[in-house]
Amino acid sequence: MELKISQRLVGTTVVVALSGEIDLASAEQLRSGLVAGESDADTSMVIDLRGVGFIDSTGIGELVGCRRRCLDAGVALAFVVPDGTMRKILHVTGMDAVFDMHHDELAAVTSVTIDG
Amino acid sequence: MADRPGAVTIEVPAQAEYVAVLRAAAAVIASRLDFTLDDIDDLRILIDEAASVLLTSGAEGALHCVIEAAGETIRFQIRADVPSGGTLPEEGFAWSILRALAHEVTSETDAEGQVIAVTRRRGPVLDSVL
Repeated sequence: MELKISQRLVGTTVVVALSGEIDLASAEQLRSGLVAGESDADTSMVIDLRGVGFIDSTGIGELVGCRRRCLDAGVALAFVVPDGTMRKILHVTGMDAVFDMHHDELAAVTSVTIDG
Repeated sequence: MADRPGAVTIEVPAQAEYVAVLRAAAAVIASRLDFTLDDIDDLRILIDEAASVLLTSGAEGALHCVIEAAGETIRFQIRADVPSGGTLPEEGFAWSILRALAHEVTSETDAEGQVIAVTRRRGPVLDSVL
């Protein structure tokens, strides 16, 4: 299942929604999509992972890279993460302690706009 | 391992696009053993990570994968020729995931290349499943 990336604006926050499978084969496409979102983001960005059926270490690496670039650029970043395998993978890589994770878009958008 | 009855051997080109084929094969085999959906998810991730480690280390030619199911246990190994040689660096997110979701994982270098072998039994590995 190929990766689909869509981007829209919710208030002043860029929301990048991912769906499909994230692995070594789609990592480059993912990075392009995230970089595009970052360059459009003024102060805040949300990555919605609810449509993602599969993610591996390559994908986690890309999300970490995005977070680093956002930190450098002063863009607040949050994630919408469904229960199940996605949270398990973030847990075993230790990234659940690093990422600002929420169950729904409203909570994620609120989180990145309220501080900024 | 390859000669045992019940073992499935799959060879795919050593390219990222083919890792999905290995994931699908692992899922089908696990589902026939009455693995739960969580177990099957784990197995798909394990085989993906093992293949990805070999590919990012510079594997060339083919990924040679043998999946063997016995009772409540699935073992698989992926072998590839990694011309740059050396021992695989057992670090990073891929190895964190391999160690967390497998009951056993080993990597070896021999004359024919590099091999990652993984054992996964039915039932959760993690004590606290989120």
